[in-house]
Formats: sequence, C-alpha cells, structure tokens
Amino acid sequence: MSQKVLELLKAQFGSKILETSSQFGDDTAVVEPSAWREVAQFLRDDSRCAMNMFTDITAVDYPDRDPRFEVVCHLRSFDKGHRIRMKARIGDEYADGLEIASLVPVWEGANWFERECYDMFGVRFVGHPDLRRILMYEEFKGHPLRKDYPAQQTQPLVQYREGVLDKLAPFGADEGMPFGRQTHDISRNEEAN
Amino acid sequence: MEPLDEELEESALELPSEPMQLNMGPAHPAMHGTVRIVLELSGETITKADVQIGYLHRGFEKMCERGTWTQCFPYVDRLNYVSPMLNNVGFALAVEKMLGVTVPERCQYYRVALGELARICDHLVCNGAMAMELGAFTPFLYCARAREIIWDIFEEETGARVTHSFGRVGGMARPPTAMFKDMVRSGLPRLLFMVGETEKLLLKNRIFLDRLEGVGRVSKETAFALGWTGPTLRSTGAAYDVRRAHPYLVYDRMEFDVPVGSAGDNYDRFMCRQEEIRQSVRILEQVLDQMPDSGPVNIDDPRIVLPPKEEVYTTIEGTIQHFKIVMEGVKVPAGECYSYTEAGNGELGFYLVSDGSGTPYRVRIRPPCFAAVAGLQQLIEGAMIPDVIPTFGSMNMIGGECDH
Amino acid sequence: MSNPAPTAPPKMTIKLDGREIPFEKGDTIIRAAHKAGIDIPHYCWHPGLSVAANCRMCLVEVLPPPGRPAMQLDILRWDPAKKEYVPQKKPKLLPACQQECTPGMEILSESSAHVDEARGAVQELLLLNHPVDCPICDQAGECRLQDYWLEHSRKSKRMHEEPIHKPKGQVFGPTIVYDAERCIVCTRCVRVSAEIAKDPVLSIRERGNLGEVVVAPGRELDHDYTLMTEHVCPVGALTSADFRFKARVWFLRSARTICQGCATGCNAFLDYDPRNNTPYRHRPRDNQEVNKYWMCDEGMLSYKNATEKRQTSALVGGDDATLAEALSAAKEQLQGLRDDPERVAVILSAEHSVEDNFAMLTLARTYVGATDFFVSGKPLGRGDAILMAEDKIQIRAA
Repeated sequence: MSQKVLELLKAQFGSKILETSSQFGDDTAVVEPSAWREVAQFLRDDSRCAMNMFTDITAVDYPDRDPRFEVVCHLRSFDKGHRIRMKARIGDEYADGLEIASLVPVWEGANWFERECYDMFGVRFVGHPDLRRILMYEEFKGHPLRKDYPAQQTQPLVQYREGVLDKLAPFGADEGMPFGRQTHDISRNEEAN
Repeated sequence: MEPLDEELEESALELPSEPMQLNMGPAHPAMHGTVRIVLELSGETITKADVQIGYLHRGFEKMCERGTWTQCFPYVDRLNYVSPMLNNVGFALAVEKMLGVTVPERCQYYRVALGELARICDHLVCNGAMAMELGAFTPFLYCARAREIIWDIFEEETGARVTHSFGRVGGMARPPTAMFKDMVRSGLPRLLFMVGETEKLLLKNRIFLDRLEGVGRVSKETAFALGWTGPTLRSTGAAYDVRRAHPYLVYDRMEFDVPVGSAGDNYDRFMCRQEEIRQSVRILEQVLDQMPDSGPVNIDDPRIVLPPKEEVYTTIEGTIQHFKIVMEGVKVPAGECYSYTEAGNGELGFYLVSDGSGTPYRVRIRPPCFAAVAGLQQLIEGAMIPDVIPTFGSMNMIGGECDH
Repeated sequence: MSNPAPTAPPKMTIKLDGREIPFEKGDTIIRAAHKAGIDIPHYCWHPGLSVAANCRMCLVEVLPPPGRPAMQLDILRWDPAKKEYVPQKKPKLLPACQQECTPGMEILSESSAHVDEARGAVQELLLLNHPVDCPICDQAGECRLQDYWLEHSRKSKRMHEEPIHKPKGQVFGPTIVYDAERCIVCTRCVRVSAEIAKDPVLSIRERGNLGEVVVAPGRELDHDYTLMTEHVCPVGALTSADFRFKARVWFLRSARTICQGCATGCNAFLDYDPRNNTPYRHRPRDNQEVNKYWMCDEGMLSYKNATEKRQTSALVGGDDATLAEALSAAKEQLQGLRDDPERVAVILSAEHSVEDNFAMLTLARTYVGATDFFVSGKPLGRGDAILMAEDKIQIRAA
C-alpha cells in the first residue's frame, strides 16, 4: 500500500477526500460518493498512481452509522506494486439513496463485482451495463449480507418456471428459439385463451 | 414431438434462420456442475453469451459473521476445495495481520510446504480436467494418480484428504509429523514423472493443441482491467505473483521463477500451470532443506492459541484458556484489513472487518476465479461451441470459491 | 448580577494512568475510577457494600507526592542469568478499594509492570485450589476468574500438589447451593446478608486455604435477599437453586424490564434464551433512585409469572378454542356496544404491567367505547424497610 497515493489524492481532490487512514499496513481513502468515478479514473490514468489492476469491490453494512453503507474498492498498480483502498459512504438507515457511480467504464472487471455487491447489499451502481443478481436467483427477496437480513431467514418457494426458456438478460423476450415457442410455451397459450 | 408422417406444407419444412439459444450447463459435464452458460448461436459460432453463476452459493460470508474467527476455517476450506490448504493459510495470515503476530519460523516453512503441495494439486486437477473435457481421459487419470500422492501426504499430516480445516490463527492444528519430510521427498519424483507423462501424451497431440493454441486470447491490459491474477494473468505475459511481488511467510528465501506466457491463450494458461507445478516442486525441495525439525509451531499467546488437550482436562488455567477461546473467540483488534496471498487461481484476498470482538463483523473474500470467470464471456463470444470447453477449463473455475 | 453564584469548590482530581479523574471527598480510588467508567479489576469490592480489601486484585501503585520518598519493599528476585535470587526493591502497592483519594494523587494501574505482576500473582493464588469445573459451572461465561485470568495472568500455576478439597453442593437454604471449592472467600455474600438483608446469617470459617463460607448454626440462609448473595458472587461458588444447571449464560440475551412483584418497581434485566423464547432469570439493574443494586427473592423469581400458571391458549366459554375463533367470538359479543357503552365494563388486572393495562385501556376506549373501568385488587402482602413494599400491585409504582 502506499502513503504517497493518499498524498496525491488529497492534493488533487482536496475536500472530496473526506478522510485518509492507515491501519495494519493498508492505506485507505474515504472519498465523497459523487467523486467516486472521478477519483477512480484519476487513480487509473495518472502515471504516478497507475492503478491498472482492479482487485475488488464490496460493501459493508453498519446499521448504526449514518450513512449506513460503505462501498469498498481495492486497487493495485502493476508497475508500481502499490495498493490502495478506496471507500465511499452511502445510504441512510432505510437503505435509501444507496446509489453510486459504476466503475465498469474504468475497469471492465468491476462488472461482476458490482453485480455481486448489488445482489448482496442492494447497492445500485449507476451506469452499470447489466445490473442484476448474480449469486442469487431473480426471485430472491432481500439482500442477504445486510445486517438486518436474519441468517435463518427462509425464502418463499419459487414457482417452477413454466416457460423454461424465459430469457434472462441479456436476451430479450423475443430473442432465440422462435420455433420452440409454438408448441411449448404454455404461458403464451394461456394468454391466448 | 409431432409425428413425422404428418402431411406438411412445403413452407413448414424451411428451417428458420433466426439464431438459436443453447443452454450449456449447469448439468453439462464440462461445467463442473456449477455454471450455466447461455449461448446464442449462429450455426456453431457464438454470437452472444451469458455466464451465470451462483449454483454453489452457500452464504459463506454470512455464516462467517455468526461464529468465531477460528470457526471460519472449515468454511474457507470449502472455498477452493481443490486446494483448501492455501485458503486456510490465507485466512490465518489475514487474521494474524490484524492481530499483529507472526507465527514461528517452523510454522512458516510448514505452511509454505503444505501450500505448495495444495497448489500442485490445484494445477493438476485443472489441467487434467481440461484435458479430459477435451476427450483425453488418460492424462486425467495420470493427474489424479499424482494428486493421490499429495493427498496421502495430507491425510497423514491432517487426517483429512480434502477439507483439512488445518490452519489456526497463530499456527497450525498440529506440528508436522515425523515422516513429513520423507514422504514429500519420496513423493515428489514420482509426481514429476507423472506430470511428465501427462505432457508427453498431450503436447504433441494435434487435436489437443488445435483447441488450445490461439483460442481464448486475452491481452495483458484487458486481463489487468478484468482483475485477473494468477496463472490466467501470467499467461498474458504479466509476471505478477503475490509470492514474488509481496512476499509473505518465507517466500522471500525461496528461489523460484515466475513463468509467464506470451499470447494469453489457452495453451499459455495450460503451460503456465504445468511450469508452476515444477516451480512448486523446486520450492518444496528448498523448504525441506531449510525447515527446522524441532521448535514450536504455534505462537506463545494464551489469548490466541488453544492449550494442549491434557492441560484442558487437568488444570483450571487450561480449562479457562480453552473456554475463553472456544466460547468467546480470539479477540481481534477493531479495524479493517485486506490481506492477500497467492492461491491456486491467483490473488486470494480477505477483506476483514472486526469490531474488536471474537466474531468477525464482515468477512469478504476476493475469489480469484470470480474475476477470471467474469472475463469468460468476452473470450467465447465469436468463438465456436467446442472452444468453450477448453477456455472455460483454463479459467479453472472452482464453484465454491466463485459462488462464495 | 448582584448575587454572584457561589464559587464552586475547586474540582478535585486524581490522575489514573495519566488520565485526570474527578472525585468527591471520601471516594476511594476504585470508586472514583468506577464513576469515570474505568474498571480496576476487583473481586471483593462492590459499589453497594462496605470495603473488605481481601482479594488484593485491585492493587495499584500510588506514586509518592513530589519530594517524598517512595514506599518500597526489599525483595529477592530470581535472576535467570545468574541462576540465583538477587536483592531488589519494589514499590508497596495499595488496594484501590481502600485507599481514599487525595487531590493530585497519581496512580498507576494498567501502566505499571509491578501492578501487572501483582495481579498475575493474585490470580495464580486464587486459582491454586480451584477445581476444573468450568464445563459444569453456572458461572462460566460471566466469571471474573475466567476474565481476569486471560487479562492479567495467562500463566499456568507453579504448584503441582493435589489441591485442597472442600465440600461441594452444600445446600445453604431453599434458594442457594454453595460450592466451597470454587469459593475465593471474598465475603461479598457475607456482607450482603449483614448489610443489605440485615440478617448476618453467613460467616467465614477457618482461614487461608481452608477458608469457606458457613451458615450460622441452627439457621438456614432464608432471608428475603438470599439470591443477592448469588448475584454478587464473582465466581461460581454460590449458585441459585432455581437457575442451577438450567441454561448456559452465553446462549442468553438480556432485556431490560421492571419487576412486577410489588409497588417498588425494581429495575431488572430479564435473561432469556432467544432460541426457545423462555425466560431464565432476573438480574437487578442498577438504579440509584429505586433499587440501587438489589432485588428481593420474590422479585427475582417473579420472572416465572411470564410463562407459568398462565393462560396461554384461547378459551371460548371455558372451552379450548383457536385464537381466530376466540377473536371472532369476542368481536361478535362486543359488536354494537359503541352505541350503548353502559352495557360494557372493563376490568383491568393488577397482575398486569402498566404497559399491558394501558394497551387494554386504549383498546377499550377507542374501539369498544367503554366508559366503566374497574381495577382488580390484590391483598397487601409482606413488606420490609428495604425493598419489599406491602402493596403488591406494581402499577402503583408508576
């Protein structure tokens, strides 16, 4: 990790870097949520940072804090070998306003990590090309890694998907397998009746 | 099916020209039972692909928030269940980083040795399975036979063949057995022989090579942006290995090369893994020479390490120590830390948040193959269906790790 | 303006581990620290009891006033290099529970190596004869011996002789069972009996290794505050016959409650097991205005009223019914009473809590439209000058 990157960030963004800290040898910058992508872009493109290796995006839920959630991003530079942790605090106690800019335009690897974060915490990444659940199924209720989601919670039974060929994104409803539908798509038959 | 002897109009016999949608997995033999790839095909060419994971999601991170730090070990075992020891060591190192303790030297060597054995396992399974999915069954059996040598060692050391739960915060569950070094010494040449045999079977095989060379190519920059690490990244020519870039344990005393590829295709990923097996053997030989035969394995701190069982049963101090650690857990200082080690698939990160109690507040694992599988879609789009098999195989997706 | 506020007396402070702490005249060091939220480890001291200073766990190093020599002891210390004992000096440590604060006093607690060593030694001494009982001991999980061993000692004892054996499972009275082997003879229970219950029925027999708590000959431990002796016991020596072997404390969660036993309204914690939703015990909750640190036996055991001898299923006309049936029957009977409120009267129970009665009252007023309310009574019971009120209706406390 690198103290130098923190200094650079503070010099570049000033008050948009809310706080910086170093603990256990990790350097952390808490950035203003509105500057999330801007800071990420700078970290990647500035030659002194050169954070070209995207490592991780996740979130942590602190129900007692306001803002309640922390979105945490870990980055590394291949050439310099330094790392940084970037955090933003968003969302109120009802998890409203849980939105932050997507980093997919900066590192395409952020795609799945942000989907997982959305799935587990309900963080909406604005500008994400394909934000849908990844580990859980579409019918899942709630976001399991939030602290107010009880670990022994059971989920409603999901009906057997009659239209086995229902298209999950990125396929639209009318894409693919047109000739199977005429005889096998029961739901469509019911609609017709 | 409609009966074929039915009278059909001419127009009904015309094949529709729309693209076809095809489900690969989760029940496909090459999908390791845990992934579904929805393909849209034009002929045999893939025009669109969607990789869907989550079939092995067990809420690992949620479960970790319910037990003590030590109780996470069985869970991390089941992340990458092909090389559980590397996860054990990685998690132990992460907690130790927060506690600010370093395990004794003997334990460090022991962890390196067990970790390298697990890494060989991982690569053997990956390459063997990849060959098998391409129809070459014999190499897989050779690899399985070679893995058996390692599993025998693990069984002797830990009592379990697959999920060992052998790591502990501040050390290992038990010190190395007396025959550990001998077993590894006698096992390695046999293992190398079988690895060589595997290569002999495969590397001059036209069918095998045609489906590896030039297929699933990735550039270095894309691999970086995708968050790739480990053999998949190294195959593109970027020599990033956590053991070399940020040495932990005693890796800074080891001499080994970081093999890199040049093209970033399936062949390079295969060969990187093969070469890493040899490098791991090299590390193992050095570890066996340097590892002390006696000395403590666990750190000496009653707040972290369990007392010997006979003390628990006979002295009140041992009972109290045992009780406190088991019931309340190791108290980890409040804060957060990101710790990373080189696992079989690349950088295995643990982002831990502690509130100062004996229970983790948040355990986030950064599974290396999650990033790799995330990149699969763009690799197979535009390729042919048969290319999916080796490309997916070379990602070494391990469901437990990828799906948490 | 003409009346300047009387100048406040200068705030008196002591310095504990470099931190300034205010104190009032007469405060001991441990009490001043306790008020400031700092816990100096202790067994025998209790904020509501007199000072005994016999456990020696709260020893602290008091620095001499400027210009005065430190009180020092000559000791022999083992030198591992020379392999012999060498004469050395060490400061005389003082028990924080007994030493009164003086302005400007400087005290080292956590930051003194001598104090650390002394506490480790005290802990080793207390565990010398302690049986290996944690797995079967009710106190395990909230035991001072366990906590302080990990915090201050972390060493095995050096004695390898057979420990002293003493009687186990002695019945002291209807509510208390005593285990002499676990006892550290801190005399808290003796002081509770004498000072709080005003019934000095407990005492200490023998001394040193052989010391144990005994009940006065011909008597039982049967005053109204026997469970307080168990509550103050810092170890597992005194156990409550009611709670004994019922639950393990690490499975319990605490809810804040008010005792329903009498009009005093003692503040309490209700410990319950969230897995089966069963209450297991009351623990007094500090409230200096009401019950200080204490509760009577009757109140301590009144948690059972929540589950025992209580109608737990619905009845219609004396016959068992489902909840839905009972509700619809009630709805039918109460239907239309709004227009004619004199036909209905509501009886509130003295057995219920204020909250329950308030809910009933609100329901009756707003939905039923009742205007007549009666409150059932309860005969006066036994009271005393300590906590127990003769009036057994808790709502009068509110």
